[in-house]
Amino acid sequence: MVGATSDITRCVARRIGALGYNLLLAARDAEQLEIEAADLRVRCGVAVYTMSFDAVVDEPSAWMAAMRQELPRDDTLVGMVVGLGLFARESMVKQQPELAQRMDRVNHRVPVALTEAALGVIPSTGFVCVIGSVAGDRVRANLASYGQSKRALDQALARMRSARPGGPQIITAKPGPTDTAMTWGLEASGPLAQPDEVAACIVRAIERRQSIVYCPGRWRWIMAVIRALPGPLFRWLLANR
Amino acid sequence: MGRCALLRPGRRQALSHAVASHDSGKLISRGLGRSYGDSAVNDGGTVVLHTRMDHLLDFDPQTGVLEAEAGVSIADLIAVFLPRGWFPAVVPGTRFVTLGGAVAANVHGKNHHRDGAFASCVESFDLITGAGASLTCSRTSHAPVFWATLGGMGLTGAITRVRLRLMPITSAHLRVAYTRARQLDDLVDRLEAAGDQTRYSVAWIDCLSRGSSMGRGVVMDGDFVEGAAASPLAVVRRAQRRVPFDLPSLALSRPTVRLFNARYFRNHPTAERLVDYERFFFPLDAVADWNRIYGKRGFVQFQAVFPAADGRDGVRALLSRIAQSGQASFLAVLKRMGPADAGPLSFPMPGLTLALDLPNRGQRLLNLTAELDRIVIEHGGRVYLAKDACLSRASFEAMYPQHEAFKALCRELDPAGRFSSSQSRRLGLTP
Repeated sequence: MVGATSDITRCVARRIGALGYNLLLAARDAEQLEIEAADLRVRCGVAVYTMSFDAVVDEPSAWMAAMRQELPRDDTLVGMVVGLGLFARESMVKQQPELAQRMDRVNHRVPVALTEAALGVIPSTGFVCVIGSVAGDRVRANLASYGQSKRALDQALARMRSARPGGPQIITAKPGPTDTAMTWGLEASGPLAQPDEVAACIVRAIERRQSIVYCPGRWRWIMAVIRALPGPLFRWLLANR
Repeated sequence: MGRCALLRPGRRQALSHAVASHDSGKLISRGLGRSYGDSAVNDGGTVVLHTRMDHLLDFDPQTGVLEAEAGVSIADLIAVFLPRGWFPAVVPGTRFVTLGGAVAANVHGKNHHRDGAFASCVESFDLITGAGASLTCSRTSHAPVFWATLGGMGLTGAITRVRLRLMPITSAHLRVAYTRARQLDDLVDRLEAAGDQTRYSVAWIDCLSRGSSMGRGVVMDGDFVEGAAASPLAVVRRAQRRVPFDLPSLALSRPTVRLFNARYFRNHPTAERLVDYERFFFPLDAVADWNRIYGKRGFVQFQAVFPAADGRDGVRALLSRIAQSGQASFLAVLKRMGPADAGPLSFPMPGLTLALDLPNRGQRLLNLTAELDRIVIEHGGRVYLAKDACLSRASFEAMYPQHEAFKALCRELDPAGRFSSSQSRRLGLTP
């Protein structure tokens, strides 16, 4: 579980732990990581390992190699969930232009590199599930850099999926707006999904070996409509909300 | 009600930072918001939600001691530990409360007469005070703070972690003896007869019955049974019904409540039944948003305890005043309480406690509760702060004679006066 302290990923971890799988958690905040690990040990009674991972500075393939060294011999890596995300509105990016690059790294390049590295390790019956966003389906001007990074992630995962038929299942999870620390305090244009609702949806997709999953499911239909809107109409709707 | 700022820290550092950087006063913690009044409301201030700090940290199956963050709910705790044969030793009437909230209100349950309030199963807890200190409080370390926080309504600081003892059980079912009582004396006699051998004991009481049948009701005595079903420790998963919208105020008028009460009485003949823990402890949790049956204007809860010597007279005086007012209450509960805790604001005391709902009728309600408060004071009783929304400062001070000691301790813990709630300002507990 990479990015294991995020609101959605920790709910996914609780659900996967409840199925009896041992877990390896990775995140930047060491103290919170231990709290998360303790919770999963008590809650699920499984073995939980922790490892530091900072998406901004750590090199993904070197980290994956180090992680394999850490893993006890009796445990086989059967799947990986990547829940990394950095969010900034375009107005913020205008003030701090380096945010665009950092979002591209955290939301796109690092998850792709981790997936790439994991594909060589995980058996073909296993999976890699990367948490993207519905924002990548149709990029809006006020979230341009964020949307671009999620869109690039979506496309890269799609390419990897078609390049390796028969390999581990690559799942792109696309949560709609969710009630997490990331969206806390932002003005919401509609009801927010709860993180555990999204997690349930993700775990179901893993069990069913789906490729793309919208969480909650209604976003599949909403995004189908939004993707089909002609550009001028899309922009007019956004401007006149 | 004015507006307030909301914070929802997910980590302890974020919470400490929120406390330390809060300079304007008016900061209060909130769990799942089940206090009926304004305990976790902060008009013009800041409310800190603890619900995302909900990690279990350690459990010792030898002793049954669990360490968890304060945002963990009783519901979550039951879901995790019931299948392993453990149950919280004290639970209030809803499972949608956090451990922090349970400590702050020193909640009690149907076993108070025998096992005491929530304090009795709390070993220790961690508290971030207004001065920014992080204290681990127990009966032996920072004992005055420990006791003041149990029932202190969050005014001593933000509770971050709780260590509590769970109780071993072998089944999720209780054998419950229902006994009908025709009037108040009969009802209280039966509650007192239950004694210490009965773990859980509580009575439903019909507030609308008057005259010779005033105080009629049904006494429920129960305890967990040993391995009663095929899978005795299964968590109950009953579909929750919802109240989808605010019902018109007519829904809870005198005739409908009279009808409900008559039916309830009829449906609970003197008999023994096997009941699952959810139905026994948390009957209202089966209906989500049940408060909506009171309509848009809502209701207040009124819960008072009377010392044993004056208990019957106090309850009788309250019941006759409420019956006379005609303000229908469809849920009223009478229970015998055991020993008090040392906390200056802790509610329980040995005697009788009566809890009921009163629909909000504006000024008429306030006039009524003021009269009820006076009756409570006359009989040496007090009102439960977790349910209070109407108490005046003077009445509060008459009911809780140790309030000055509490205030002095708060000033020591929180010299800058960071913590306060709408309730604490109304009651004069904080500036």
